[in-house]
Order: sequence, then C-alpha cells, then structure tokens
Amino acid sequence: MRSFRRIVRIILFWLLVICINKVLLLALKPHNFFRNDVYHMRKDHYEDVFIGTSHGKAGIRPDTVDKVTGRKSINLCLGGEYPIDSYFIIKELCRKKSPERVIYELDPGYWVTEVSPGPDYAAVYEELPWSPVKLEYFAAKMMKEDFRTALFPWYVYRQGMKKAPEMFCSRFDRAYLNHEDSFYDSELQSYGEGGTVSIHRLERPKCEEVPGVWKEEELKEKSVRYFEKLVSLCEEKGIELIVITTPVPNETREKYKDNFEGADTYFREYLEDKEIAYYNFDKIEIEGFDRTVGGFSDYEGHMYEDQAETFSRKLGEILK
Amino acid sequence: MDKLMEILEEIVPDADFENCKSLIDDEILDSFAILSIVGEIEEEFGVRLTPAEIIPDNFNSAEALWKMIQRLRKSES
Amino acid sequence: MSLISMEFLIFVFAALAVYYLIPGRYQWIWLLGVSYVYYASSGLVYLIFIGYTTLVTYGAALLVSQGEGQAGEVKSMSAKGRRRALVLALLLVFGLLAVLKYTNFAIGNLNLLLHTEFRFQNFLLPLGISFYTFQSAGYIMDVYWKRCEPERNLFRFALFVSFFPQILQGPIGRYSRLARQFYEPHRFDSARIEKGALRILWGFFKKLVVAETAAVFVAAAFDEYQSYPGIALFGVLAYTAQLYGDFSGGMDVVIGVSVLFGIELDENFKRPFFAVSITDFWHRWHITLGTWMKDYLFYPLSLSRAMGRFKRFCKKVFGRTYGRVMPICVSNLVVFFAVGIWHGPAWKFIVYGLYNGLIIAFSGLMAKNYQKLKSVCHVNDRSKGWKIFQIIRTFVLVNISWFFDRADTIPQALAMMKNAVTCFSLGELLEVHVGTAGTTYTVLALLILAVGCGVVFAVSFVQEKGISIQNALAARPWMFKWAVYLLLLFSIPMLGQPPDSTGGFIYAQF
Repeated sequence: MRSFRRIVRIILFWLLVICINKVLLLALKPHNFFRNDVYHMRKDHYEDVFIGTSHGKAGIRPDTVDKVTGRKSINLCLGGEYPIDSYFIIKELCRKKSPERVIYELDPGYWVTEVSPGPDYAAVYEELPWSPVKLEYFAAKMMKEDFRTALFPWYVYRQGMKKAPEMFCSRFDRAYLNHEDSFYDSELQSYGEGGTVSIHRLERPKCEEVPGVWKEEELKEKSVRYFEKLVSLCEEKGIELIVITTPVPNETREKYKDNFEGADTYFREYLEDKEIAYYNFDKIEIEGFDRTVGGFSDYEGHMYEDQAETFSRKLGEILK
Repeated sequence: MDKLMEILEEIVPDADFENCKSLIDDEILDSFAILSIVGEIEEEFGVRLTPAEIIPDNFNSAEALWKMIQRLRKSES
Repeated sequence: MSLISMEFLIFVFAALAVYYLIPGRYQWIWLLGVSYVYYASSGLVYLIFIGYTTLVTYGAALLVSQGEGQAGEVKSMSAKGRRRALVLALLLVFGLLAVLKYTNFAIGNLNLLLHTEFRFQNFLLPLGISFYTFQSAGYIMDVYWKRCEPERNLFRFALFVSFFPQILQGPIGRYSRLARQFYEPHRFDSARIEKGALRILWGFFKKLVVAETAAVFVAAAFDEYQSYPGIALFGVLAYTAQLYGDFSGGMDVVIGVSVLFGIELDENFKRPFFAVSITDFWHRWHITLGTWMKDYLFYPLSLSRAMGRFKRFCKKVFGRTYGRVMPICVSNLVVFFAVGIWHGPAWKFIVYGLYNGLIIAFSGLMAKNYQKLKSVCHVNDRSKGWKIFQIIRTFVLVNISWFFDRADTIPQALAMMKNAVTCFSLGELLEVHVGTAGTTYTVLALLILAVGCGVVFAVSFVQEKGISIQNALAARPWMFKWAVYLLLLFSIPMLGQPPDSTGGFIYAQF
C-alpha cells in the first residue's frame, strides 16, 4: 500500500511538472504564422511548394503565381529556415502525398552561417505534428543541443515575461483556435493567401544591416549536406526541384558586389552540376519592378506587397 | 613508546595522542606533520619507511604508529 | 557528448533502463559497453589512446604484483624487477600524456631560448586523458605498494579506466574504493534515483545559473581588461563563482549520474571557501587531484633516498627544526609545480601552482614562529573571530591565484591585480552587455548572479554545519519537498544563461 501511494505521488509530481511546463510555453512563446502554414499544408494537397527564407515569405504570393501557372501552390518559407528545416518540411509533406514541384528559395546567407538555439531555432520543429519524421528531426536538430532547448522550449522566449498573461489568454482566442489567417495580421504586415506575408508600405526607417553575406570559404558543411539530402529526397519521390534567388536592392548589391557575384557564380556552377534549374532574379528582367531600396522594406531585401505581386507574376511565367 | 610520544608532542603540540584514534580521519595530522613524524621515527628508531607504509591504518593513533615501528624493526633485524 | 546536452540525458536514461532490467551479474558488462560507446562518441580515434593506457596499466599491474617480496625489501632480485616494471609502466603511461599535451609547449620554449624554429605536429588531445592517466597510474602504484590486489580480468579493469560519468572531468578514482561497487549487483531503488536526480539538478543549477551568468562578466573583465579596468576586482570574484559553479556543478552531475547506477564516486569538493588555510583549501578543492598528488608524488618523493640525504644536509646547515621542514617544503614545491602543469602547458599555470606551493611551504617553515607570534599577541586561535579572519585571508590568497589561472598571460594577470587595488568603477559593470542584439539584461543578470551565489552559499553554510540537505529534505513533508524540487527544476531554464553563450565545462579540457 505504501509503495502504491509512493508511485501515485511520483506520477502526480511529473504530471505537475508537465503542466507547469505547458502553461509556461503557452504564456511565453510568441505567435508564429508557421502554425497556420502547417495547418494548411496538412489540410490540402499542393502541386507546387515554396520553401526558403523570409525573403521568399514576403516575395512569393501563391495566389498570383497560381493565376499564371494554373496550378495550386503554397508558400512554406519562414524566416530562419535553414536547409535542414526545409528538408524536414518536405519530408513531412511526402508522408501524405508528395508535391509535384518544390521551389527552393535560396538565400546564400543561410549557407554561410549557423544558428545556435534562439527564438527561431526550433520554430519549424515545434509546429510539425508527431511522426517518425519529427523524431528524425529531433535527432538531427535537438539532440546535440542544450537539454533546455528540447525540454523547456519556452525558455528562449523568456523576454516575453511581461506579456505572459495576455499571451496565455490569446491561446483561447477563437481566431487562434480556428486557424484564421487574419489572427496574425499586424500594423506592419498581414498574413494569408497561401502562406504569404504582405509587408505594407509604411513610412518608417529601413534597417540597413545585412546579416550573413556570402563568403565561399565560410560555406557550412551542414547546409550543403541537408540541401543534398533534399535533392536526393526529391529524386526518390519524383519531385522536380527548382532553385530561385529573390532580388535584393541595388544599393545592397553594389555594397557587397563581390559577395553577391561570388554567390551567383558558385551556385550556378554547383546547381548546373546537379542538373537543377536555377533562377537568380537579380539577373532576370522583371517588368515594372523597382530594384532600388524604395521597393523594399529594408536593405536586406524584403519586398513590399505590391512589389511581391509584380515579382510573383514573373515567377509564375517562369514556372509555367 | 615514551620516546614516540615525545616526538609526537613536539611536532603537533595541541593534539591528544593518548586517546585519539582517528588522527588521519579527523585531519589532525596533515601531510607536513606526517612527514615530520616519519623523519623523526626513522632517525630515532633506525627504521626505513616506504610510501607503502603511509596509510591511515598506520597513522590513526600513537598505538598504531608504535605497532608499525615494532613490525619494521623486526623485519629489518 | 556534453553533460548538458539532450543526448547525454537520453543516453543516461537508456543506459539506466537496461542496467536495472538485466541480471545483476551482467550489469558491469553493460556499464563497460556504454562507457566505450560514450567515449567513442567523441571520436573513434580516441579509443586507441584509452586502449593503450588500459593495456599498459593492466599488464604492468600484473607484473609488479608478482614475486613474494614484502614491500620495502628492495634488496631481492624480484623486488628490483618489480621496481623496474613500475618505472617503465609509469613512463609509458605518463609518456603518452606528456607527448600529447606538452610537446608543443616544450618546443615553443626551446625555440624562444635558442632562437630556433622547430616545428611539431599539433596533436589532438584525447578527452579526459589527464584524468584517466592519473587514475590508472595511481592504480599501478597501489598494486606495487600492495594497497590493492591487481585485477586479473582485462574487461573488468577496462571499466575502471573508462567508467563514463567520470572520464571527462574526474573525480580521479581509487581502485580500492571503486572495484567492489562496479562489480557487485545493484538493485533498483527509487530513493537512490531521487537522490541522484536531485544531485544532478543541483549541478545544473550551479553550472547554468551561477557559472554561466558569472562567465559573461568574467569575459568582460578578463578578455577586455583594458576596456574594463574598474571591474578587475569584481571580475576575479565572479571568476571564483564561475570556476566553482562550473567545476563543482559538473562534479555534482557526474556524481549524481553515478549514484543513479548505484556507484558512489569520491567527492571532489568540500565547501572550499570555508578553508582556513591554503593547505586546507587543497583538502577541499579538487580533492581527488590533491590526494593523488599527496599519495603518489609527495610521500614517495619525500621518502626517497635522495631526499633523505638532503634532509641530513639541511639539519646540519639550518638546525633541527628548519632542517626537518625544509625537505618537505621542497617536495611540496615539486608537487605544486606538477599541479600547475597538470592544468595545461603554459607558464601561467606553473606560476599558479608555484604560488600555492610557496604559500604552503612558507607557512610550514614559519609554523613555530606563528605559534610564538600568536601567544605574544594573545590571539585565541579557537575563537570565532580568528576563524573568520583565517577564512577571509585564505579567500583573498586564493583569489590572487585566480588571476594567473584565468588571464591569458602573466603580464595581464599582473596588470589586472594592480587594477584590482587601484582602480574601482563598478559603474563599468552596467556597460557589460548581457542579452541578445537589441535587448539588455545586465542588471537582471547581476541580480540572478547574486541570488545564485546566495543560494549556493546558504547550502554550503548549512552543509558546513554538518547537516545533510538530502536528509533534511527527506524529513520534511512531501509538499515542502515538492516545492523545493520544482523551484530548483524550473529555475534552471528560467534563470540560466541562454545557450548561445553557454560554453563547455572548463575542467573537461584538462
């Protein structure tokens, strides 16, 4: 009898730990539209899938692309998405039904940097549903890291402590629970239309910092490895893989001329070698597209919504 | 034995060598004291100690020390 | 596999689950297996080195244990042979460590001295080699001195060298203490698991909350000492917190993990900052290294024939009292030279060691004079005030030594020591950036550091009074116990430094 009470007590203790942990996660983790991306991706089937970084998230508008191509596509790009994350997103998609084409929006910056666990680190991982793919993802991304990243995922969001009660309550918001896209709208941007983020034209200072410019000698083996895994996965599943690079403002391209030219040369040769189509939109004429920083919300290259519209039409023509 | 007590009291004046049975375990003798005692014993009793003898069992009490000395004397004679 | 990584926790959990499911007589084989898997995970090539040390010590121990000669009988032939085998084995074991760790340092100094330009291959340093080499060498000497029986089963012996919790940063174990525990069957005991888990949590608290928070300020004070001259004093105090939290926290994790398997390792720390002298400090800080040095270097050296001759010489020259202590002081300096160089191939570590050695030698030489001085000044050395004075004095002396330990060069250490007494500007602390780009949590970090140190101090204080925290907790109602566990558990992610600044364990690099 005593040992029974003891066991019950131990189980209760661990239940309490799990509950506290969950409440802290709900109260501290900021909202991320990738939750809805995953929701859409699981609900419908898409022929074309865009993966990549925040540049692609802002620039690629699936609705516009689809009007030109006559197909159905989804934008699963995300700021802070490294090749390892892209690989597992596609792998997860293939668990149900493979798409016909995967369009990988390549930002050379993500090939020369590595992230340590921070707010973006596990954004994709945390939203994927439990499956063998997620387990593999866990082994690849979380195992070697500090145990807090996996066991106390809220701890990288500690700065949200002041707004914790508000955040906690918002988890019970009808719009949140129903996966309504408008839930993620803010003054600066809105989310929707196949997973695109529309950046509104607002008069505000533009961030001049350009993180992670290309240097071939700093190429990270891990990024290459996971891109190549993605290539093999696509081959195996009969998916066509296309690589694109979104335009950056002229001012930035001038400032880092050698870096951007170097990246173009490197990837052109690399992808040609692998027989993968590569479109660098810095080199492709886009009618009516403002290439100065006036068309972007910052110097790094996040397009305004109207520019994204123009860009996506051109992208659609190429993908047709 | 009286000679040994004399040596011990000279090196560590404020320890109770009559009764204490845990000179090492209670850290009453530090390594400096142990080596000083060893030096005096070697000189006084004409024995030679090797590192193998420096174990708590031999140093925990005056009595244990005395036993060790007698054992060494016997084996060397 | 870092102690704070997810994979380590999973590894321990999996190893533990199987450990308690299989029959007791196979448990040690399983432990050997997981230990080798653990060690191989840091690099397969390292297995060669640990295999070499294991084989050499295993064989040597069997050799030196042969013959009927009593310890001390150096005259017989077999005793001579045993002695030769011992020396050869020690040369082989320490030779590997010396070549891997110190060749570059030696050549660098030679080049400096002779203005030559010799080059040498940069070797990779196998993880934990300083720890397992010392542990193995101690075993050979124990067998030689007949303090323990040699292990005849190679695999059992291999477990002693490679036991995974302790291999990266100690404690340096003794065969006589560990062998029985390794090979006897252990039954699952939930109280023991609770004890081990609590110890592990406490270790993580010390490492992630105290040491890592202190590390940010230490980095500013030491690595940018020219920009932050006003916090040199704070920097060295923070380094005390960092080093203690890091090393003793790591030990708590290691010892806690071992407890889960039913194996009690030697303690490596005993509230070092309550030490009343430098000698006492070394009885409380990195204890297993200190006792290793004492048993296997200090005593043998002091009892050697050469030292005997030196002793007679000293007695003639300096008289009875000093003559007796002088040779001990010389051996002591040799020991601390070894302690210094054990930490790494650099002059600053040698200075660090010799500094400790000189203080201990000096107080040894002056012991008689101190007694006189104290009676002249009517100091009651059993009073509380005197003890507190001693503790503070030792703390100051220890902190001076940290300058050499942490600074990159000796001139930097000296410059910082000067700053520590001439230049105060605590305002500079607030200029140290803590946080990510765009956010600053410097004040919060200072507060966390203060609270963390306060908690560690309070626990040490209670333990120093002879009270076991574990037992005290067990006596309380379960609700109280739960609250403590939860607080400790959640304080680690809540207050700890984020991982992009968290480094590995300091002592895992030695």
